[in-house]
Parts: sequence; C-alpha cells; structure tokens
Amino acid sequence: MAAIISSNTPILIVLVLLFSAYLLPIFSKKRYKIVKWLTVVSESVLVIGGIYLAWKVLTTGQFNYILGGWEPPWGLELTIDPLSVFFIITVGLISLPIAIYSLPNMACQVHGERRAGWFFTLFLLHIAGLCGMAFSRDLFNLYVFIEVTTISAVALVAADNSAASIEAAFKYLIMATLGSGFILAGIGIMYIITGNLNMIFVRRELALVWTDYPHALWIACSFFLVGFGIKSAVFPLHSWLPDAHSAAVTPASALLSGLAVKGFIIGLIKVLYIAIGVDIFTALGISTLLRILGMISLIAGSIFALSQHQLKRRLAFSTIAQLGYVFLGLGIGNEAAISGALFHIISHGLIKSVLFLAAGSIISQSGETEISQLAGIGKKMPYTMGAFTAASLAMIGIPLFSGFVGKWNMILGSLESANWLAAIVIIVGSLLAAGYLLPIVRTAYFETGNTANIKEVSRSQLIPVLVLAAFIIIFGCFPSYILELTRQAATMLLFN
Amino acid sequence: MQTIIAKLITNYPYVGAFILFGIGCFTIIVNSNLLKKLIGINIMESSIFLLFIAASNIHGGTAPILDPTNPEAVYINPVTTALMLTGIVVSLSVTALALALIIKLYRLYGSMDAHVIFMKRNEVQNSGSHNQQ
Repeated sequence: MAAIISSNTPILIVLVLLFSAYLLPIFSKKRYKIVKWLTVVSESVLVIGGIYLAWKVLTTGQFNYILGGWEPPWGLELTIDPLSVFFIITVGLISLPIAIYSLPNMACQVHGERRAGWFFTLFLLHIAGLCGMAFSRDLFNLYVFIEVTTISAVALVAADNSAASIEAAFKYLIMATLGSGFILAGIGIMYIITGNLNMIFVRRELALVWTDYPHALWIACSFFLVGFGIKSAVFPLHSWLPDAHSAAVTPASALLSGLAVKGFIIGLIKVLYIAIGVDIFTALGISTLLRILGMISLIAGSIFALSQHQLKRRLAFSTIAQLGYVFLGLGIGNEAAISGALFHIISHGLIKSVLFLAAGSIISQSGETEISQLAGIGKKMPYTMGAFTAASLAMIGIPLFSGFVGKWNMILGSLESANWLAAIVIIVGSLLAAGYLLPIVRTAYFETGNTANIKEVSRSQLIPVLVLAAFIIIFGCFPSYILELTRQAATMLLFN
Repeated sequence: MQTIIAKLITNYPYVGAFILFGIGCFTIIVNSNLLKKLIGINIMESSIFLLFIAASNIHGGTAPILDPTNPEAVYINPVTTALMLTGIVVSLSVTALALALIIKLYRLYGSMDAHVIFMKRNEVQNSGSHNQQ
C-alpha cells in the first residue's frame, strides 16, 4: 500500500483533489461538517504530497511519471522536476490557510450552506487545475488544465451573486476565453510544425526544423505570449483583473491574486523554456518582448495602484505590478534572474494572500471599503493589521522579509547581464510599492477615527493569516531550501 | 507573388481558419451586445477546430481503421480529431457558463448591452455614494 502511494504520488495529488471536489456537493445540503473536513483533508494531502515530492527531487533528482504504462509518444507523461514541485509547494502552502480562513463563514458570504459546498467544489477544482498544469508535459494536457483553472476561476468570481461580481465575472470570462483561443491556436501551429504534442519531442523536432518555418514559429510564440499574457494580466491586457479580483469574495480574491495568475505564468514558462527552448525564443526576440512587457506593467501597475482609493482595488492593481517583476526576471533570462523570478512567485503569493485576507477581515468588521475610512483601525485589530504591515514591508522588499530575496536575485541577474535599466526599474518599483502600501498602514495606525464598535476577527480567521505572515518572515530569514529548488529549476530550464 | 497566391490557394483551409479567427476576435472586441460577444467566441473556437482538423486531413484518405483487403489505403491522422472532441467539450462548457452569466446580468440590469450595463452600474454607484454622504 505504502509503495503504491509513494510511486503514484503525482497523479494521486490531482485525483484526490478532483474526487473530493465532486464529492462535496453531495454533503453540502445536510452535512456541512463533512464538507469542511473533506476540504481540509484533501488540501493536506496536497501539502504533504508536495513536500514528499520536493524531498524526492532534491535527493534523487527529477523523474517522469508515465500514466497507465503508455510510453510518451502515445501516452501522457507527468514531469516531476524542480519547477513543478516548486509550484506544487507554493499552491499547497498558500491554499491550505486560505481554505481554513474561508471555511467558518463562507455559508453567510455566498448565501447558504448549499452554495458554500459548491464554492469549495470550485475551489478544489481550481487547485487541481493548477497542480495539473504544473505536472503536465503534454501541450494539449496543459490546455485542458488551463481551461479547468480558468472556468473555475470565473465561477469563483461570480460566487457571491452580486451585480458587481457577475459583471466582473463575465468580463473575465470573455477575456480569458480569448486567451484560451490564442493558446489553442498556438498549440495547433506547434503541432503542424512538429507533429508532436509532448514538450520534449516538440523541442527535439523544433531544433531540427525551426529555421524552415521561422514565420510560423513567430506566430505561434506571439499567440502563446498574448494568450498567457491575457490570463496572467500583463499590462496592456490587464483590464479584467482589477474588477474581477476586487469584486470576488475575499478567499476567492486571495486565491486568484495569489495563485491563479502565477499558474498561467508557470504555463508560459513551460511552453517557452521546455517546449520551444531558450535558444530559439531568444533568437526570435521573445525575451526582449518579455523584458519590455515586464517593465511596462511594473511601472504602470504601480502608478494605477497609487491612484486607487478602494482597498481591494489598490491591492488588485498591485498584483499587476508584481507580476511585472516575474515577466522581467524571465526576460532577463540568466540563472540568478530566473530563480529570483520564481522565488518572487511564492513570496508574492504569500504576501498577496495575507494582504487580501487581512483586507477582507477589515472590510467585514468595519464595513468600510475606502482607504481613507480605515483611520484608527490598527489599534482595534492589532493582529490583522500587524500581518498586513508585515506583508506590506515584504512587498516593498525590506531585508529579512521574503520579498527581498526574489528582488535581490533579480537585481543580481540584471547586473550580471549588464542591464542597468532593469535594475533601476526593479528599485523604482519597490519605491512605488512603498508609496501605495505605507499610506494604508499610516492611516490605520496614526490617524484617529470612529472605531468604537470594531473588534478583532474570530480566532479561526485570524490564525491562517498569522501563519501566512509567519511564512513570509521564515522564507525571508531562511530562504535556502526554496532558493535551492528555484536555482535547480532555473538550471533545468536554461541548460537542459 | 504568384507562388504565395498559389500556396494560399492550395492551403485554403488554413486561410479560412485564420479569416474566421479574425472575424471571431473582431466580433468579441467590437460588439457591445453580450450575446454577440459569445457568438464571436464560438466562431473563434470553431476556427481553431478547423485549423486542427485541416492539419491532419489527407485528400482521398480514409478513416484510420485497418482494412486487410486494401493494404494501400491512406489513413487520416486521428489524433487531432480526438483532441478537437475535447476542445468542443471545453467550448460547450464555456458557452454554458457565459449564457448563465448573461441571464443573470439581464435579470439584474434589464439589458444585454455592455454600454447600458456600464451606465446603469455607474448610476447605482453614484447614487449609493451620494446617500452615504
């Protein structure tokens, strides 16, 4: 039994999440307690499985899992390499606290226990999609998981049934489906050029024939860039994100902002680095494009965030800015910059979920959504606001917080490739982050307002936020394990 | 120039697929009616199905079922057909979700036009903030 579980861990992680997702609606009508337990158990399976796979990869190296015994050109293959394991750990560490935070009061947020059961179905489906995306090595398999993730994300945005959230969800659906169309067309062109869908075979074939079809490959690359760019909200294609992430219920916005957009970046990394290969897409000029897009969305997202007066909208725009860092790191394209960008994925996931969960607690306790009306709340909700402050400092990139490690590695990488502009943009982005986050902290602590009836949230909602905030500080002080994983992932992407 | 035109004529399914893709994108972006946007999505996805199916088609080929009496038969690649069945399922579920959202929006705002919905929402927001002041 133990041998079967340990040799099939990758597929079991995804299957447990999918099965429990579809079991939840059965229990949600009468036995809501089972819904809670099943969600927590399947999330814990994800965390334990992720850590086990990471240990296996760090000790014995990467390996492939062949589904059903059908060898690669015919069957599907899952890859357990540093990149996928890194993302599985990210998903597990961030989604488990979000699930625990959302369990006690989801029923009143989405009007009824029955709908809450469906909410957790979508929640687990979304996470299963993200895990499948990280594992899959087949282009079409990747597309299917992208669609699972996208559709469940759209439904999560619409979960609370209010006018604003349904409108935002429709906008998100139209944009995201446009993106899926571009991705599928790109996959079609890749299949026409190479006759394969397995990424390793595609790359082997492309290395031989790409000089014969440079224009077709160019079109495929730009389709992938536009498709994944829409889904991960890179600057000119970001218009759906602020509405969707600010209108959704709190756990959904934390999940979407912290994990979903990063999942699509992992998809882009897999397509560009594993299926196409770093030499070919650099020769096509895609990495220059990634660098420019990253810089523009970093600066523009930060400036838009500065001009927002609503708490959740400001956080949503800051997501666009922080994803700019990841694109910039990938565009610089040396080992330090890529490992910094990957570290920024986990660190920003933790930071943004703390910020959104804390903001949700503050909004639900005070009933205020404007930043200017939060005066004096720091004294009434000391723990929530303390977590918010720690996350703000980490976002700015203060040493000993996790945001620093990723940015430091990216600056090292950009200096290594003599790209002064990128280094300056990274530092300016940090200053702008201080500009849009610290005023919230100042208003909350140092201004006095009418806060007589506000009290701290219940313990079950406080502990997950504090645990996430503790991870920000732990990864900031002891980043070595995660950094080792991201370094190995970067080496694998560049030299394999 | 003539060679390019000749290539375009021989590969007419690809040309058709990309024209349809353009029409679909254009419909999504330009039309403000939500239902027309959804139709645009469906046109775009169908164009991609056409691209995949055309890629594996062979003139005069038969379905890939082994025929011992005719060893010289040319078979069509079945992989893309199977993939597009999955693609159709995905497109169906997207359409269903979008229709559900359109029905909800129509009940809430009494319109299916994006501009009208935008204006009504702004009115609601302005009057809401006015009441708070």
